[in-house]
Amino acid sequence: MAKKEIIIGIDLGTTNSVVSYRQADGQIKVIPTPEGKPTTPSVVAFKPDGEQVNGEAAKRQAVTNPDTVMSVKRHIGTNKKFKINALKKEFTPEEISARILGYMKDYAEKNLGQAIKKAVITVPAYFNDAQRQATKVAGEIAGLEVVRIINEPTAAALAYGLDKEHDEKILVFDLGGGTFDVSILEIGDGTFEVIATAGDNHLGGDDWDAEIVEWIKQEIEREHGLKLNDKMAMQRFREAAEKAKIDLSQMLETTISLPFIGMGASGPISYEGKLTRAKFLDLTKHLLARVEEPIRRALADAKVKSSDLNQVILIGGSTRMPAVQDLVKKMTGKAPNLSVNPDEAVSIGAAIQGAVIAGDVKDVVLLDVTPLTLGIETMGEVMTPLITRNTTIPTTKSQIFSTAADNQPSVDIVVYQGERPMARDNKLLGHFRLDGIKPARRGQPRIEVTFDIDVNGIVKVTAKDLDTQKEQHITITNSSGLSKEEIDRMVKDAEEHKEADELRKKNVELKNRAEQYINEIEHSLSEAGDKVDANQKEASEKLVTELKEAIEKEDYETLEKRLSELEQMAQMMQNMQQGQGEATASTETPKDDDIIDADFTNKKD
Amino acid sequence: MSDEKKHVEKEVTLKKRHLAKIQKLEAEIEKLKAESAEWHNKYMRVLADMDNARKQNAKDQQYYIKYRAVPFIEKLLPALDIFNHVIREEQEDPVLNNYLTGFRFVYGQLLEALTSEGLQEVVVKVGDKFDENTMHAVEVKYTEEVEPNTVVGVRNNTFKFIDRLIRPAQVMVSTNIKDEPKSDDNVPEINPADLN
Repeated sequence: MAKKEIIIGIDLGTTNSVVSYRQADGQIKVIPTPEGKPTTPSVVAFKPDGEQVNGEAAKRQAVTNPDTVMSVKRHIGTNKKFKINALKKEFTPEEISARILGYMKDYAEKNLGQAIKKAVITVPAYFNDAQRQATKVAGEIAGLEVVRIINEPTAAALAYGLDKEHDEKILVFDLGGGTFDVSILEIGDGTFEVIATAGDNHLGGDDWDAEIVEWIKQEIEREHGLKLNDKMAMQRFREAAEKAKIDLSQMLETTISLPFIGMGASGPISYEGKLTRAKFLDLTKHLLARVEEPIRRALADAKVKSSDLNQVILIGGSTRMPAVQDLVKKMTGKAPNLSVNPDEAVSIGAAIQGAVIAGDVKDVVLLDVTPLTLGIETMGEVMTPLITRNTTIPTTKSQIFSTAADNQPSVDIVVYQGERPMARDNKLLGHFRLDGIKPARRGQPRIEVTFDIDVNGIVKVTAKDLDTQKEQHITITNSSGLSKEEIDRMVKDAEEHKEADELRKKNVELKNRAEQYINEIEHSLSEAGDKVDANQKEASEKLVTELKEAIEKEDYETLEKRLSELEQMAQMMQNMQQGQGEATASTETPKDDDIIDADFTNKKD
Repeated sequence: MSDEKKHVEKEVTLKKRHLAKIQKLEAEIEKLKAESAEWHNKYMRVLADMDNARKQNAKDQQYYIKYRAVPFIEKLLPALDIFNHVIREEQEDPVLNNYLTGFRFVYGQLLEALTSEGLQEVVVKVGDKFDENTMHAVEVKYTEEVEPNTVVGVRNNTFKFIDRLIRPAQVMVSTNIKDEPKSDDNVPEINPADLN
């Protein structure tokens, strides 16, 4: 089959750009730069010999090279010319943008191993016709057919999976590195419409960093009486500031550590200080205030009350700051949606639009999933999952189980559906018995249990004795007969009872392990008969009694303690035996391969 | 009407009926064929998608395994830089110098461990030619003493991980003294924060 046409999605940003595409499996993937990063700086430079330098490398040489163009997006659609001395030539903004797009097209092609001819490119919602036209021209100069220009907030909405079918009003809040935009989107009648935008062209995360840099400088001056202004020190301040800002999104306090930051009268100066989130908030409150007004203006222009908003979406890396999230929440009364990576959302949305145009999306075969986990009850009434929830069907899974008691003639296969670890808390789907198992020690027989769900959701559970080849099965047709509400309730129940359930499960497992040891010890003692040393026999019997008592009284603390002692002892014995070669055989120590593999089917006779 | 005639008539109706039935069945076959082809196509498509996804997955996994140490090493780099910076100092006090020698060995051991994971330190020296593929110009110096575009100050070394640049050396670069801005209005339009 020929490779399908790919339409890439490009977020052509002021400071950084991102390109993504839709994979064969329907997932949207951001294409990494040759340096392995998801975003590339929107920077182009020309060396004296005329060679073009792109992205990260261009940014790294910017201070040394006047033929470097940054933030060209601020000039697109205008008559501004960029004079490039190396080439003795003037460039229009779209020609510079084309160089960025061409670089991205190139690394995308290398990554995907196929030619790319078409793209969807995003622009800010406030771009006028001339700016849109210039962006399109830039794409065409770069050798891309621009199949559509879409608004950045619309792309973000698409990335969040919002479709055109539901009438909704959405606020898209975009705070990037150097620009800030708010848009109000109205979805309805099969279209996305931007009804108002507002923003601040010179406000972004870098301003927050700059405040921290200033603070560090002042702290060092206060502590050491030293003014540090050299570029190398500033570079380290900026790195430390950005790290502190990121840390403070997760933590309430961060340590800024700058060893050997400068030279003083008595040798090197090192600085270490703590910055709390509260202090950071205080330092940057004037920046936060600058965010408020555009939100208010956008809502007023759109004639939308915050209570009319159905969704609030945050994009741009700087929206990771908790203070920004809190402010948006306070002003809109809505918990913002944060499920998509804010740096990548716009590009992802553009790629989704590209896939829709390419016709991929309607081609998708809708596959069903199992809404809840399916499993069987095992020893101690524990639910053992065979097919976990959200597994795509049709599917088949099998696992090998064994018996829980010596000479157990049959096993009961009890099928449950649900998320709780104890079988009884889940929904019983059906049960059957497989008998005719040959007399054997517990844990010896091998019973293979297979769950098969067909395309219609019909579950067939088969149990097969691998020694005798005897098998038995049950077919359950009503496994998907639960309503959406029932499923949601069962999942929620599991969440709510998680802790208590886990404790119960742990206790049952302790009990199972103890019973296994008791069984092994008693078995060994009776086999060894008189050969066992009397003292050893007495000690073993005492241990068995203690374990049994603890089980009886449901004293799990003692049980856990005794078991860990026992396991340590067993380990020691084993080491001693290995050390002495053929030493006094302590048969009461269960062999390792008998201890593990603790899945035994429940026997209810 | 003779029996024979009746018989012929009966045969004709029977034939007609058969013909109609055949036509109906043929139409049915066509429909089923089309349906089957459609399913076959969809099935092959899903198989192909699966196969492509599997290949992509394997590729991605290899990629993640190859570069798995990068985020951790990136966190270590600031400490390594300072360490490296300090041990390069020469001290007059012999006791201090002995300590520094010891620390140089410790740095070597650290670097050796990281090198075995794929890290490469590329030492950048004053006098090297500036290369934007491995260095980051943090500052410029307007001078006639050396050729333009020469490294005149080094804050730290370049670090590569296998084939990938993970941290360019931060350097000061010489620039033609004639380019030195005379007044503020000539300063190139660069936001310092863009250079992070």
